[in-house]
Amino acid sequence: MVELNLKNIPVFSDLKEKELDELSRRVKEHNFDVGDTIIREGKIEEEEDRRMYIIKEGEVEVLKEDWAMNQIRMNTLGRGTFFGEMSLIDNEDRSATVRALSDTVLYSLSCKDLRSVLSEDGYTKVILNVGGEIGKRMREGFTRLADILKGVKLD
Amino acid sequence: MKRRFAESYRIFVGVRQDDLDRLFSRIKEKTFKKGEVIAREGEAYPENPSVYIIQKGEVNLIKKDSEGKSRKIGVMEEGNTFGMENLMGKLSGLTTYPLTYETSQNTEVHILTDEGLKQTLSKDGYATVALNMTRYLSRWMRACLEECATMEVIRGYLRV
Repeated sequence: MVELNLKNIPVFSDLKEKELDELSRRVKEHNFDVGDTIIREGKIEEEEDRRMYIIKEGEVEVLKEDWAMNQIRMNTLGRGTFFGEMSLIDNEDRSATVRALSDTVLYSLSCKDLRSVLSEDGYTKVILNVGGEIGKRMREGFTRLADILKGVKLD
Repeated sequence: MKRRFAESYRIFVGVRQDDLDRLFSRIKEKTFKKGEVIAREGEAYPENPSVYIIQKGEVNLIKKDSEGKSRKIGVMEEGNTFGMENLMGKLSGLTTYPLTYETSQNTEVHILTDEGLKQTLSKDGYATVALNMTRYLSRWMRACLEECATMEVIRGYLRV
């Protein structure tokens, strides 16, 4: 039995109890060892395979490949945070690699379950919350880009 | 003109015609002169931050680095949409603009607010626009990440 209060996850925070209960029943648990790749950048997944992940225990790093094929760490994520939520709204390939920095336990929810369980209102709320989360992460991206440009004179 | 314009943009893809018809009446048009600031980094969001669609012209996206110096981190051109990051940001509890938006030439925009969308569109239509906007934002973030990775390499080569 998976112990998880989805209400504590920001993208689900304003769903109805009934929807949260139903979603909780669809949650899967996954175990990864340190160094394991959880998501690989560029991978294209079928809708039934697309999942978002919530970190129950451990830490992961988000890596992005540059054009010289070096993997650059963009971020690290710890307990209670989530990733892969963009796959809920977009059917493009995975935008980054996610790798376990320690032994890690994750919960996951499929894109398909979210669509089938949630009411139209509930789904719209989740989409808007995902948008809000992307908005927050974009801020970090803008800040990082401005700082990178300090060292590169392009004008 | 507004009608043809609105129908051709991605954030309205999949929205029913009757919804679009109502929406046209809510779109505001505005012209900014060259060098005018549409919104400034750090300023508080208004109650309803706007989404802007550039009809003509160009807008620079400017961000202060950690030393407080302004850096141009992107450009929005004719047909591009910006401001979803603020509309969504406000919905998720953020309170200030992350960027300065400054025109680099005389620029005509179409303006929409979340309130306007909610009041005008059917539930279906609003859900579709919310999904389209989130997708658009997701692609923009992806491009931002790609650029960060590329610029890190360039900086690495140039570092002495």
